[in-house]
Amino acid sequence: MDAVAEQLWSHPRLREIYPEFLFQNHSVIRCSVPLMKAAAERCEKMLADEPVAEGMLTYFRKHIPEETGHDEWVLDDLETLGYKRADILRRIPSPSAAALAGAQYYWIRHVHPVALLGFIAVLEGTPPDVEFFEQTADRIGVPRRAFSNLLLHGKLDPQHRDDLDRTLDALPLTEEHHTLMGISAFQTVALLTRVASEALQ
Amino acid sequence: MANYDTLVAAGIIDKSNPPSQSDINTINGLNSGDVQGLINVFSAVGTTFLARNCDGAGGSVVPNPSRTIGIVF
Repeated sequence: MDAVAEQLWSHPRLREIYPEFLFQNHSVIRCSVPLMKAAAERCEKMLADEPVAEGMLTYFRKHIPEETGHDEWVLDDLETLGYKRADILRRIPSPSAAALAGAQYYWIRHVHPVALLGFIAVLEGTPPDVEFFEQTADRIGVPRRAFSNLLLHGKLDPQHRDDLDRTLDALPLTEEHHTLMGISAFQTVALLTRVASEALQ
Repeated sequence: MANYDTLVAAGIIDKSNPPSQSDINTINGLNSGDVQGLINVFSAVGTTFLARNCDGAGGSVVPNPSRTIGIVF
């Protein structure tokens, strides 16, 4: 994933590729809040029998309002670049983005919602560097306003990453939970890499 | 001739200490005006000046310190 990240952000035609990257980005994070809601619903049903359910439910109930609307930031960035929201929302996302979200729905509904914490750990684990993306916007001649999603996450995600770490430390996780979170995290890395690579094609 | 080979021939890139493949791709993606501009700058001020005063001299893009792919939650 690091290699694709480097290839993307140092690409000589990044200015042309960036809108496509934003579309791929939106395809993934439009599912963030719905996935957390699905996981929270499962946790509610598991409260009587599953010791980790209560702590997870507390985490999701706090994090859902924090993440609500973040997909709109990406649409804002595309609008800044001249793309219409309605056109973006009408376009069919890639199968890779669908697979990334679909896998999480599978784990949440048919195995255990703790898998989603592995997904979140990947997506919030390396917050964007604000200075780097401000410089990138300037370098490719794009208004910084069109990087609002990355710049805002650069400021917010360090706190979100710490919140997740504290939640994970406090949960009575079993070895099976850790295994599932690991599988979910590595699957997320693989599919996220594929989604981002598609912006380069 | 690829830009990379041009800059090697001009003595700007040391073939025994090549840049990363990502940097080579970036170099080869430059237009001819940029390449000539690089050669002109190196000819005018020399590599010592650039090494002392230019951040990232020897590389073409500041690496992403957070390594984020940019698809963030």
